[in-house]
Amino acid sequence: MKPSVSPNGVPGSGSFRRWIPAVGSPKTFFVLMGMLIVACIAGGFIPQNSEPSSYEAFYGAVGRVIVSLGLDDVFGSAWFLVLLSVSALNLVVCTVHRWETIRRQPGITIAHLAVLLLLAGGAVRGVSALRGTMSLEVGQTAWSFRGTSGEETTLPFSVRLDDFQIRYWDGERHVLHVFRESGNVRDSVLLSTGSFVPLDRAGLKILPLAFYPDFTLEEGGAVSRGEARRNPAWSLEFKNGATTWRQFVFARFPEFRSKSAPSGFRFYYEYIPGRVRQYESRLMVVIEGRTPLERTVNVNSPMTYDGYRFYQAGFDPDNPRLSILHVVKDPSVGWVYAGFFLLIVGLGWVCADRFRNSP
Amino acid sequence: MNASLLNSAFFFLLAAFVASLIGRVVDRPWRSWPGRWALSAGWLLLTVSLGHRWIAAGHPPVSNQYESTLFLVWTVAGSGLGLVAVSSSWEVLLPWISAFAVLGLGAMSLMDPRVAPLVPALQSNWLLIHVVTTMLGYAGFTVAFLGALRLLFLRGDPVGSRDIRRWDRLLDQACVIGFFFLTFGIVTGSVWANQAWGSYWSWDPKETWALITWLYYATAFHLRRSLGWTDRRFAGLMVGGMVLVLFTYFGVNYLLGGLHAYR
Repeated sequence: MKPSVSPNGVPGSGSFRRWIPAVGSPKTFFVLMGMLIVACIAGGFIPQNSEPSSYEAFYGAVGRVIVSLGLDDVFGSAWFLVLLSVSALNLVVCTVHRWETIRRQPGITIAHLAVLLLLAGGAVRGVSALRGTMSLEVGQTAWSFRGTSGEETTLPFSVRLDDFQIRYWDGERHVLHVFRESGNVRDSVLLSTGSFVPLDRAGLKILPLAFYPDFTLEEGGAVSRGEARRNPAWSLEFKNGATTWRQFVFARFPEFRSKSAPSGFRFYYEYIPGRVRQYESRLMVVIEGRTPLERTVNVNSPMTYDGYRFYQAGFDPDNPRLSILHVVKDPSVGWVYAGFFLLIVGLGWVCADRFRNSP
Repeated sequence: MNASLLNSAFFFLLAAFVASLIGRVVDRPWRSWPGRWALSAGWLLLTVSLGHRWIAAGHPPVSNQYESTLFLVWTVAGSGLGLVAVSSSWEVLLPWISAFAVLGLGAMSLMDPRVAPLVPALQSNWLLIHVVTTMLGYAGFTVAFLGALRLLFLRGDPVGSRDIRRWDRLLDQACVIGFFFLTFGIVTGSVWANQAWGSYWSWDPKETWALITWLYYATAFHLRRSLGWTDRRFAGLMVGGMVLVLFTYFGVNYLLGGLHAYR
């Protein structure tokens, strides 16, 4: 049976005929684009997905309005998803409705198809993507990871962290700034354990005795609680002519004044951490005692196995043996990459057409 | 050395602005040449400065706001020279382009010029591709904006005159190029983000504002095609678009932060 066709070329009958042109009209398109832009501006200005109480603390009464309108999670809200869905429908109907015009411009057709693929990819991601975090110490093995909502997700294999390294562009530096009140003299010196360092302008000699990454005092004297730089401190010996004294300096407590130090001097210790060049994990996939994959993972170089990807996400400055990994399984990547490819091809075509048809 | 190069470039670009302005009022056959030569000299110095910084840093000079602004000024000045080389009728753009370059270099004096080693996330070949394509997009929109200003300042030209049509065509083409490269920049950024962080889209403030800019220009094209918004109305859209481009480029870094806050 042949379907009925309305005078404006829309198949179907009754309300469907009236509804389709309305959804696919240019006016609807401009209204939807305006709404999308306004929604994105709101989501772009207002910090997203923070604790509801933080909005009230920061914005006052307006914060309550933000939370009640769902503007604290614009891009995950139902109304934004409906807006995207209606935009996709508008794009489909517009394309079908104006097919005779559009088909003569392949670039525009391809670009529109690309946008639909991107939206479809977004939907696939929303429905089926898994993502979460895994923290491993060197030597540990994990069979699961913690999802973004806090749920534990089991892997079909286990992952072992064989090694973890943090490399630096430059090492940490310890700088001692010395102020001598008489004559308003200032001087600075890099500290490292060894021999006396002369500070000629201040008229001092300094002997760095010991470095304490995490200083504390116990019965036996000063000790470090560990290697993490939680409370960096130095024990120093000073010579000023015939006078000699020892004292501690603390990066976190610059105002500390030692009773043993003579008056007229002030010492400030500045701890400058090294700049991280790269951090990388040596990972092993383990299945029933076998290791089908071993890989070094760093930022920009993930490991992929059985659809799961493992990304180097971070480290714990207080525990140099702990590696933090992101785990992702996202079937939408293929859709989105296909959309990206078609978008570039389509817009490249449009560009070429614009210049080809230029008088 | 880099500071001396940029100071010299600033001097030549300022000279290009003054000379091309004078060229608009002097009725001599050589009137455009001083402006062109000065802009060319300024652009060459910017080229040397970029190359010097690349060698000194050991990575492409696009890793922070200072370097990307230098690249943007270089691209816009180069686009101006290219347009004038294609047709001398675009000489009228020279004062605007020189002024933009002078303002860009002036803004750079407020930024941190230090060369710093790359943080782990930026150690990727995508850095060059992503920033260059995005900056080319911004450069296209900047040329469209400068052309729009010129079109809006045309006095006494009835709508649809030959001069208006010519400027309207420049706006359209510059905007299409800008849109193509902005899209390319967003795409390369997404692919890079997926490789580095495992997510091609995170609604980071920079991503969100790049999308807003993209939606705005897509709407501008549809207004042009579907509702016939050409000439002055399209020029108005290009001026509005530049506000979004500037906010996406500068404003987000300083006001909103996020994953792209490399100052």
